[in-house]
Amino acid sequence: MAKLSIQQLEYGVGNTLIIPRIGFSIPDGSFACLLGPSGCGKTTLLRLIAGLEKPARGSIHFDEMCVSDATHWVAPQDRAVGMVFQQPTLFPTKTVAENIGFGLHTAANREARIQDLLKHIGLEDKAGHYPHQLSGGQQHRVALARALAPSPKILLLDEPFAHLDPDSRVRLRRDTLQLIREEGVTALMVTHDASEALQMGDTIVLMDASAQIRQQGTPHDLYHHPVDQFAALALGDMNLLKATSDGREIRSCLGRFAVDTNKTGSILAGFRPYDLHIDPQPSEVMGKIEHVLCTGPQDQLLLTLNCGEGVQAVVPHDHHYQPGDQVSVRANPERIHVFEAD
Amino acid sequence: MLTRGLALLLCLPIVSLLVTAAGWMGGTAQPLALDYAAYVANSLLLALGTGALSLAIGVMAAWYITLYDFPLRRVLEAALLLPLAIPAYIMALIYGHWFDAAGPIQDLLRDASGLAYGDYWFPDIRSIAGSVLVLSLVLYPYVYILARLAFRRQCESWFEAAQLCGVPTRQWLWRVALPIARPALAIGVALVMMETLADFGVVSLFGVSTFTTAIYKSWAGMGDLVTAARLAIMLLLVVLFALWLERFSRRDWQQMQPASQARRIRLLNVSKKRGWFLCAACSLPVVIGFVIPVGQLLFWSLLNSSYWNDGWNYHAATTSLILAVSAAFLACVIGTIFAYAVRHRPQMARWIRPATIGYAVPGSVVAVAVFMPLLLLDRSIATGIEHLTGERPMLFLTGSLFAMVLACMYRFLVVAFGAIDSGLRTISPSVDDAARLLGTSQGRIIRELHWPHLRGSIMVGGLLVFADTMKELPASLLMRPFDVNTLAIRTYSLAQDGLLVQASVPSLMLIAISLLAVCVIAWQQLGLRLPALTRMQATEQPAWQN
Repeated sequence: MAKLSIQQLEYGVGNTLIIPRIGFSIPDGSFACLLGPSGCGKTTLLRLIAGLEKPARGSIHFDEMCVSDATHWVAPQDRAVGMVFQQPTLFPTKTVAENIGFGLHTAANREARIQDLLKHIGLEDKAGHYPHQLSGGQQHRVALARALAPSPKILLLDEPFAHLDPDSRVRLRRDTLQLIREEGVTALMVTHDASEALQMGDTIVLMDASAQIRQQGTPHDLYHHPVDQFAALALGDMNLLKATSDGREIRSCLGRFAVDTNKTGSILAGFRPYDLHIDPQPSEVMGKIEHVLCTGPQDQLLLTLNCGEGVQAVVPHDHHYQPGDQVSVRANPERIHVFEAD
Repeated sequence: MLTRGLALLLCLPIVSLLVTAAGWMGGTAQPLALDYAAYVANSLLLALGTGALSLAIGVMAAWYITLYDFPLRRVLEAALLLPLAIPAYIMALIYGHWFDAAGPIQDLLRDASGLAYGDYWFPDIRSIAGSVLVLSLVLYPYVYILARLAFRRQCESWFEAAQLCGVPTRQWLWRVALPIARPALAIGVALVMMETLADFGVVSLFGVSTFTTAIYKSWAGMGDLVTAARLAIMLLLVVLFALWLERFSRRDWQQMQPASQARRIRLLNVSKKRGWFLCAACSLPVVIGFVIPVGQLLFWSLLNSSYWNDGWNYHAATTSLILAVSAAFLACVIGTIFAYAVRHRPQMARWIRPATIGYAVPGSVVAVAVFMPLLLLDRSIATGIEHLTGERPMLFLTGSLFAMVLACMYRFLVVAFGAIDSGLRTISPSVDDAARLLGTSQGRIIRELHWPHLRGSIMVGGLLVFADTMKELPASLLMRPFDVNTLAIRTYSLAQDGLLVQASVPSLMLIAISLLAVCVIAWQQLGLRLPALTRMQATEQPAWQN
């Protein structure tokens, strides 16, 4: 295990800049999620950290050891990095046990380590099987065990659950997290699924479409205190309403809210759907229900406010609202987010 | 570095062709009576005629096999490939005999009608039309394979949609299948035309003058390499024009993806009578293109057992084997180097493409192109040795099999490269990355992870080059040193001398070897399972990603 720090990292192919001078660090032994839209350069960043690509500028450190900068270059096989790819990419001509032991070059404890990992991933009885005899989820477990076997300093995971069915995805997320915690390895997982990042990460690094880092923090930080509109929408739904601010009070369709902000003039006021309360009793802000969508434990209401703006709210399922009903809408003043208007 | 060097070396033949044609290599053009207009006209007529007839046969067979259920369908699906195993000059030898004035067909006609020779009109097989017929019988499988694949992989998913739109079955071919399969068919026809332009055996046996016969005449007959090189360049231009036409014809076309996960359509049931009609229609190319020729050859070869004991046949077979094994080995080595170069640096494809155009270059052109630089090298080596020892040695590059091996390797390199490259592509690059991150050396990656998978592809590539080299006629004929014979040369020269019966034994040997390659193609392309290869497929082609 090691602390991973990246400074001023830049990488491009031809004239296209893929990674534009970014920097962040991940504390020793924590599980970090790199969240960003598809094709923004997340996988490239992982490959740079692994040493499978060479950066144009900047440095990468594992603890105090520099693995890549202008003067240092450590080859991928010498970095002690483990990687789990999108596809399990097991070696097809090797058995499960041979796959797991592939990176263990010394005989000492080799068998014990393989057995230990097999037990952890629950595939002790499949040691002699070949990859094509395993299910997709089992292949992923073996790939994870193979990457962990040589006890890497850093484990990189590239959307490892993207191609699995929802059931095995949930189970595999839990098992992966547990195994990685037991091993105590620092891990960085790429994903474009916000709920995956929120559930798994100790820390989330949020990247935008041009590979700039927008925000880093705990899942709670990112969900409840997004720094901007992009961050807010990347982590989940949010109602964004046109509003005006004078630094102490915000006026919007949903009423007036006392705030303390340095943003003045035209702004956007944001509320998560959970922070809007719906009530059949008439009040000062009313809206008309357009649609009622069942999402399982809760229902999602799509409303048009009297001022003409559309919002969505989430309510417990034991309500009796129908499309066309007039209801009052009240926002939780504690949970207002203020963003610059575009 | 190695790849670039090899690629440059392999571009040398084309360069030398230009240099020779310009007369810079010495030698002057003889004032030969060459009828260039006839070469162009004959070559184009041949190419277009063979292209059209092959298209008709190939599409018809592929369509019936794809859509209808009829007796012997499974057998015919594979059997339709069999004519591919018969070298065109052997086909010409057989049908030249059958349709000859003294051949069985006219005999039968005279017996039945009581007419005497000269009393009736009978089409002459030794003509352009005859060559078109014979070449189409050998070459239609190219169209058949590609049409079958396109119909099965791309079209089947559209049939359901067509059905729901109320398009009747008999209109599917025109309204659904052909438009979708057009790019694949264009490639098939282009291959057929390329092979037709490259053909030497059929046209020379049938007395049709084309570029290939003219090249032979000017080099082998007059020793005039300059004219031969000029003719070769002209022929090359015609081939490139045909290839460009194929590209041009599908410039706006993207490969159609299946509309949905390819669902196999249920075969249509037909009445018993119609079923047998379809069976007969699909059997016809197999009977004419394989059963009759092989039957005739077997009959001839059994007439006199001494033909089997003729030492010259075995001598020629040994030479052919040495030639084919060496060419296949070289092609596999270079093909593997190129395949790895492309894997590690995709931009290397730009270097490799010009180095592997040999397949588009007719054998007679390859002969001229490879011969010149070797001759130059040979002469300078000989002069060097003469200086040192005072004795002038023989030319051991052009005076031995070496030049022929190089020519065949050059011509068929892309076959080996293609097989190895596609084999290597099935190993996901992430596998290499994963192994490297686990601290594995490049040597161990190749030995333990690539080789078990790649050896099958290398074998297939090698086998295809091997079979192609065995059949190769014009290049061997032009480049052979004095007294060297291969099976192909022996077959051709016996046939040319009218010794058809004696030619039957080397012909059968050639067909037997070509059949091996056809089995590989059937297995690879159509996924037909042959007992011997199924096991290999099971062990060599594991699912890399599922």
